[in-house]
Amino acid sequence: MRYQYATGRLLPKPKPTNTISIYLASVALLLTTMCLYARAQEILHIRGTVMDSVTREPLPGTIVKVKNTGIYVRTNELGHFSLRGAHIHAGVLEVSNSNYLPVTVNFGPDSKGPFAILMAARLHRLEEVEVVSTGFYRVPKERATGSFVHVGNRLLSRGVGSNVLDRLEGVTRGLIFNKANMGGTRFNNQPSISIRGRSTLFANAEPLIILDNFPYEGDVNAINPEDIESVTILQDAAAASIWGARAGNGVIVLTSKKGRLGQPLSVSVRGDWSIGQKPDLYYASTIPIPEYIELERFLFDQGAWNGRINQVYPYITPAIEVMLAHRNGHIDSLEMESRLARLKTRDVRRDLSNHIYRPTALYKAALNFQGGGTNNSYYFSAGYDKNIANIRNNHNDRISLQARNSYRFLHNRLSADAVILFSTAKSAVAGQNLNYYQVLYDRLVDESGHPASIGGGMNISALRQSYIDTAGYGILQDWAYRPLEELDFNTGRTTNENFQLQTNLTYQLLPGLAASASYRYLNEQMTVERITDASSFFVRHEINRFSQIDPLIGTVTSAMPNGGRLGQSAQRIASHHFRANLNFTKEWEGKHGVSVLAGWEVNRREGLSETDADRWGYDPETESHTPIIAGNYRQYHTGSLTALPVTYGLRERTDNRNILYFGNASYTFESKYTATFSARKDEANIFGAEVNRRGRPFWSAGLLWRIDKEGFFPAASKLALRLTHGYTGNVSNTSAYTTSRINGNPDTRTGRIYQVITTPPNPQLGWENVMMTNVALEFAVFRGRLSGTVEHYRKKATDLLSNAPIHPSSGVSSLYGNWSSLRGNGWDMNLTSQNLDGNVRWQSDLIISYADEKVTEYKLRPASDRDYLASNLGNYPIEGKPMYALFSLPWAGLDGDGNPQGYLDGQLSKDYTALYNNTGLSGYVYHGRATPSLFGGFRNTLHFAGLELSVNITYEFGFYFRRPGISYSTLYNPTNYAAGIFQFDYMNRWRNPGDEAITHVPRAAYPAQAAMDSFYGRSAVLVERGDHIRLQDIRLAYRIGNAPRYGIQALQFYVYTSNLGILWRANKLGIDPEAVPDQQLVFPAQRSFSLGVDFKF
Amino acid sequence: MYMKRTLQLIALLSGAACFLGSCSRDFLDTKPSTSLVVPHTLEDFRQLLDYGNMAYSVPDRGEVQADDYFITDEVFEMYSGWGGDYSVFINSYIWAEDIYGTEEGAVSWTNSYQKVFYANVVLDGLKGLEGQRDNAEYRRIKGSAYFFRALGFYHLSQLFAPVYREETAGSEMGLPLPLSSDVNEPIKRRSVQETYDRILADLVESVKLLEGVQVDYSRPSRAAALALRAKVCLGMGRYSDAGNAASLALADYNDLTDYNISDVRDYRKVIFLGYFNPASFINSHRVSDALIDTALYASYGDVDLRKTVHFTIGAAGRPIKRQLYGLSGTTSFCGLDTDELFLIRAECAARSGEVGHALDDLNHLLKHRYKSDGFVQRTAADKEEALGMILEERRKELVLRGVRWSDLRRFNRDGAGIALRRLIAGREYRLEPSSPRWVYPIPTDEIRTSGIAQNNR
Repeated sequence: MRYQYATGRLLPKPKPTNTISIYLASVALLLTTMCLYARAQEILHIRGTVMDSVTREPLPGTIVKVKNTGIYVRTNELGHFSLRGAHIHAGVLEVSNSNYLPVTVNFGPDSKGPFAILMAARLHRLEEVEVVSTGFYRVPKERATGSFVHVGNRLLSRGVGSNVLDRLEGVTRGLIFNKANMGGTRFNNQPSISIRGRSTLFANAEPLIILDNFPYEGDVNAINPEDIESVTILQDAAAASIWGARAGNGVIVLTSKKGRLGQPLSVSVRGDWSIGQKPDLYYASTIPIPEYIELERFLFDQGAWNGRINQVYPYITPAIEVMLAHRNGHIDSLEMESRLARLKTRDVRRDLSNHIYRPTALYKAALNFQGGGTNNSYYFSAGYDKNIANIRNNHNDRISLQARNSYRFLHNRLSADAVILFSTAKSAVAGQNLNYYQVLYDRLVDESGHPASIGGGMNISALRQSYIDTAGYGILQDWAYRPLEELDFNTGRTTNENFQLQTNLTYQLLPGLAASASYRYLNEQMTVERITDASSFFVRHEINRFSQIDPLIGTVTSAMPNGGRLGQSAQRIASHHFRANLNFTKEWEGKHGVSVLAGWEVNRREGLSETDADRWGYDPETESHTPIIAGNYRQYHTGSLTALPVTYGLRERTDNRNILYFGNASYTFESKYTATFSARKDEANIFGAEVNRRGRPFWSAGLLWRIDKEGFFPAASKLALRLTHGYTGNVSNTSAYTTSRINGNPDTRTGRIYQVITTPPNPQLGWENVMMTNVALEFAVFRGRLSGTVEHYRKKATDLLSNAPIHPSSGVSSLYGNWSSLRGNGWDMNLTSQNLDGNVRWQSDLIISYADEKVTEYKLRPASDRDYLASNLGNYPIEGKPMYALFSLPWAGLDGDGNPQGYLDGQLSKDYTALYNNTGLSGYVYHGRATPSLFGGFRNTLHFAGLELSVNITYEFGFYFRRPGISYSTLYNPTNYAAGIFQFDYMNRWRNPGDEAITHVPRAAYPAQAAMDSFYGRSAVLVERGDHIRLQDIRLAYRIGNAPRYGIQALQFYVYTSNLGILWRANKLGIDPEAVPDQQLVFPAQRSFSLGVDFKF
Repeated sequence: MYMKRTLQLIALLSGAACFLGSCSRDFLDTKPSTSLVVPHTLEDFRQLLDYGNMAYSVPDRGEVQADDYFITDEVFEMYSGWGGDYSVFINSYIWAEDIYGTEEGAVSWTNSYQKVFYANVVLDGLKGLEGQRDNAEYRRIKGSAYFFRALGFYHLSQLFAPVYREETAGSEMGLPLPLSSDVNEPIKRRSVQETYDRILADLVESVKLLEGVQVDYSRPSRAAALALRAKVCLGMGRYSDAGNAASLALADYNDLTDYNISDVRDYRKVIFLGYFNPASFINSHRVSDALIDTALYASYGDVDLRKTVHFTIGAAGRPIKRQLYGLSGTTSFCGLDTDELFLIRAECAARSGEVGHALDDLNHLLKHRYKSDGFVQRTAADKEEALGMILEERRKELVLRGVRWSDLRRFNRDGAGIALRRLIAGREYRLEPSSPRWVYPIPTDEIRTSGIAQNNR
C-alpha cells in the first residue's frame, strides 16, 4: 500500500513540448542529472503556499480547488501548490484541509499569486495522514494493526546533534537510552538503546536499524540526520516480524528524504552552532586537599609508605617526597612545613580547566535540493559537521553527500530509483588513557608557565619524580612525565568512509500488481592510527627501561629502538542485499481492501578486521620503522627480566549469509476492520547446525477495529483497538561443531601459534525466539483536544543463548546453547493535549513507558555468590529477577564504637569476613532493577505568531544504584594515592560516640581492615534510589512567515539548549544517577546551547 | 489477454522461486568467521596441544598444603579479608574442614580436566586420520595426547584421590576418567586402582609413540613420559618400576646444570615445562608472601650453592624462592626435570639395597649443587643411612616444585607419621598423619552438576 501526494493536473494532458527542462549539474561525484522544473508558458499560472495561521508551518496535502470545476491540486510537503490553466482566467480558489477551516481566495490575471494562504486550525485534528514504513512496505497508520511509533520530521528536527538516533531520546515511547556506566557499576551486554525492555541475555541486544529498505550494517554516525525524513520504531511482533530473526530487540526504520514528482525545485539550508560548557570538575566531592595532605603525613609517620620508599623508583606523592627529604635530613622542619603549606594551596583541577578541558563546540551545515518533473524526481544533499570535544586536541568532523534519482518509464509502469550515499568522517583523540594528574595537588605548569613533570607515568607502575630526576646519570633519555605535552604526543586518528549504492526497479505488471527488485551495496572502511611520538613519555619510558648503561665507557644501549610507535587497525564491512517481491493491492467498491506482499531476499555481510603489530622506532617523516625481536630483557630500574612490549597482528574475516522468504497480507473491511498476517522464514549459515535448524519461521497476526466508525459510538472523536500476536528472533553467530580458535598472539613463551577450543559440539544450536502480544487503544476525545495511545504488551523470550553449567570434569566450564528464557511486560502510553487553541496554541505531550522483565530460566551460577554483589551487573542473571538486579548485604548500622554491623544468620555480626564471604544470595537484600522501569518525557509546546517555545522534561523511575562508600583500605594504601582523595565520606565518618545516630560511615581505624571495607562497600546503606526528573531541553524558534514573492518558502531561527539539570531526584546526596561519583573525576553531561537557522527557498 | 498474462507470470515466478531455492543450500554452507576452526588436520591437533595454558599448568593446591613454606599472620589476615580464591587458599593452608565456603569451582580441578579434554579431542580426531598413522608427526601428536591425559589424571590423583595403597586401591574412590571428547557422556568416580591403571596405560602408549631425545622443553618427549612414569610408580611404591623408568628417561636425556658454572637453570633445558596455575599464590607476585620454612632453610650448609641459587631474601627480610629458571615474571617451575630423576633412581636403588648405585646418582647430583672446592663425596654405611641422605637431599632439591605433598602422603602411608602444623596468631592448626584431610575435597560445582561422591573430610 502506498500513499503519495498527487500533483494536480489542470489540463487533461500537459503538452510535453511546452515543457523545458533545466538540467542541473550534480553537487559532487554524481553522474546523473535530472529534470528539474517544468514551467508552463502562456497559460495562467497560479502559485502559492498554504500555511498554518499560527505556526506558519506549511500544510502539505491541502486541497486547492477551483470553484465550480473539477480542477484541483494538493499541496506538496512544503505547502506549495501550482496550477496551470489556459482556459480559466479568473475564479475562486477553495482551499480545504480536514484539520483546518476552509478558506477561499479570488484569482485573476492580475492576481495570480504567489499567494500565502493562512488557515486557522479546527479544534479537532484527527486524520493526520501518517504513513509508516517497515522497510518492506509502507502503510497508512490508520490501517496498521502493529505498534508503530512514528517520529515525524518536525520532532526529529527539534534536536541539534550529529547522530540521528540521539534525537529520539525523551520523545519516543517505549524507547530508552542506556547510560553504560554509573559510577563504579558496570553493566554486561547493555545495548545503547532498548526498545520495550530486554529480549535477550547475552546475544546482541541492540535494536535492528533499517535505512530505507535494508538493514544498515554501517556506523550510524555516518548518517546525516538532516537527510532523514522520519523514523518509525517497530515495537511489537506484528510490526517487526517482517524482520524475522533480527527483530527481537525491536526495529528502528530510518526513512530518507526524497524528491517528489511534480515538485518545483526547493532548496533547504540548515546551519547551527552549539557550544557546551566545560565539565564540572568539582562535581565529585573530595577530601579537602589540606586535610588529605595531613592524612598522608599520618600515613608517612605510621610507616605505610616505607615499602614503596625503600624501593628506589616507585612513585611517591609530592607531599611524601617533602616528608622523605625531611626524614633524610635534606631539609629542616621549617622548610618542610612551608613546602607542605604550598602544596596545600594547589589544585590540579584549576590547571585541568585552564589547559586541558575546554568548552565543546559543534558546527553543522546541511544543504539539500529536491524536486521533480513529470517523469522523475531527485534529491541531492550535502552536510558538514564539526565537533570540538571537551579535551584539547580532540575533535571530529563528517562530510556526507547524497544523490537520489527516480525515473518513470513506459507510461509510469516502470519506475527506477538510484541512490548514492557517501560519507567520510575523521576524528582525532589526543591522549587517550593518559593520566592528567597523579594527585589532586599536582600542577601541570610550573611557575614560569612551562609544562611541569608530575612524575610517574600512566599507571600503577609509575615512577618517582626524585628517581627520574637523577636516574641514568643524565645519559638516559629524559624520563619526566608532563601531561600537558603528552596531549600533543599521543594522537589517535580514526577515519571512517561509508559508501552506499541502492537501486530499485518496480514494474506494474497488472493493475494492482507490481513486481519489484532492489539491491543495496554498502561498503564501510574504518581505519584507526595511534601515533605515539618519539618525544612521548611512553616511548621514552620503553627505551629507558630496557636500557643498560656501561659504566666504564659511559654509553647506553637499549633493546628498544629510537623513534615513535605506530599502531594501526582497520575494519571493513561490505554488505550486499538483494530482494525481489510481488505486491498486490486492490480495493472493491470501498468495501474490501486487500494488500499482499510476498518475496525473497538474499544477503551477505562480509567483515574484515585487522590489527597490525605495533611498529616501533617509527618515523612519520619517512614512514619507516625498526623491527624489534621478542625476548626478555633486564629492566633498568627494577633489574628483573621482562618481555619487550611486542604485539602481534590479528586478522579475521567474517561472512554472514541469510536467505529469507517472507509474505505479508492485510484485509480491510469497510475501513472498520483490518486483519493482517505476516510470515517469514530465515535461514542463516550457522556453522555446523543441522540443516533443519538453520532456518526458522517467524509469524505474526494482527487485528484492528475502528470502533469510532461503528454507528453506535458517535460521542468519541476517535477510538480504535488493535491486537497483535507473533514471533521475532535473534541470531547466533557461534558454531555447533567442536570449534577452536587460532589464538591471535602466539604463545608468549614458545612463540608458537596455538588453538584454543571455544565450543564443545552442540548440534542443537539455533535461534532465539521472542513471542510478543500487544493490545493497544487509540483515542481522541473532546473534539480531538485530548488524544493518545495506550499499549500493553507481554513477551516471552525463549531459547535464549547462554552458557549452562556442566560438570567441570568434562574439561569445559560451560556449554553454550539455547538454554535460557525471560518474560517481560509493559505499558507504553502517549497523550497529547491541546490546552489552548487560537492565537496562542499550547500543546502538551506526555510519554509514559513502563517495562519490566524477569529471567525465568538461567542455570549458571557464579564461582561464588559474592559475584552477585561484586561483578558487573548482568554477568549472572538470576531466575525471577531482572537481568540487571541490584543486591547488597543487610545493614545493621554502626555500633557505639563506630564499627559497621551486619546480620549473619539473622544475628547481629561484626565478623566481616564471614559476612562478606558466607552470607550467600539468600541472605542478600534485593533492591530492584539497576535500570529504569518507568520512564518518559513531558513536552510542552507554545505557539504564538510564528514563535514556538518547547520545553522537554524527561524522567526515569524505578531503579537503584550503588554509590561507592568509604574504603579505608583504599585511603590508607600508598598504591591507591590517586583514588584516596575521592574517599569523601571520610569527612562524614564516625568520630565520637553518639555519631552513629547521624552517620553510617565507619570510624577510621589504622591499619585498615580490608574485610570491613568489603562488607561496608557492598552493604545496603550505600544503595540509593535512582529516580529523577530532569529538564532535558528548551527550544525557541521563530518562523518568519512565508514570502513566496521573494522566493522564500520558510525561514526559521532557533535557539536550543539541553542538559539543563535535574529538577528532582530521590537521593539526598545531590548525585546525578547518570554520573555517580567514583574514585576519580566524574562529571555529569554538560549544558549546551545552540543557535541555528533553517531556510527553504 | 489478462488471463494469459497472469498465467505466464505465475509460470515465470515459480520457475524463479525453484531456481533460487535450489542454490540456497551451498550459499549457506560457508563458515561465518575465519577465526572459527573445526580441528581436523594434524596441524590443528598439534596447535591444540601447543596451547600453553593447557599444557603447562600444574595445580598448586598440594604445594599450598605442604610444609616447605609459611605465611605471616599479617598476610593470613589480609588474604582472609580479601575472600574469594584467597579464602580457599587460606582454608587449604590450614587444612580447614570446609575448604570452599561459598566458592564454587577450583582451578586445580578444571585445568587438569581441561588437559584430559584436549587430549580426548585430539585422540578422537586422530581416528579420522588413521591413514596417516605411520607418519612421524601423527605418532608424536598421538603420543603427546596420551601423555597429557596421563599428566592431567596424575595431578588430579595427587590431590583428589587417596594415596595409592595396593590393598585398598580397588575399593577406594579415585577419579572420574572421561576417555571421550563427548562432554555429555555420563561420568562416575572410578576406583584408585582403575585411576592408576589408566595413567600407566596411557603412559605405555605414550612411551611407544614418542621419540626419545628431548628436543623441546615445551612438547612431550619419551623422556617426559618415562619421567612421569617414574613419578607415578614412585608414588605407588613400585620402586623397581620407578627406578627403571627413571633410568630409561635418563638414558634419553640427562642434562644437569652445574651451579658452579651458572646460577640459572635455563628453562629450555628441562625435560618438560610446568608451572603452577597463573592464579596461584606460590607462583604469582604473591610468591614473596611464601616464606621458606625456617628449619628447611637452615639445613643448607654454606658450601651448598642452592642456598643462594634457590632462594633470595625477600622484602620481609626472610628467604623466599628465587626464580632460577629464567622464566619471565615470577613464574615458578614445577615441571619434569633431570634432578628429580636422579633422586628417584637413587631412592629406588637405595630401597632395593643397591647403596653404591644410589650414592653414585646422589653424588652426581650434589657435585652440581655444592661449591666445587667444598664438596665431599657422600658415603653411607647401609641402605637406611643412604635412604635418609637421599630423602633429605630430595627435600632440599625440590623445594616448591610441586612434589612435597605427594611425598608426604606416601611417607605417611609407609608409616613415617609426619604431622603438619601451622601457627597463626598463637593458634595451632594440625594435620595428623591419619587424617582424611590428606585428600582434597572435590569442588562444589562438580558435585552439584555431576552428582559424584564427595571425599570424606
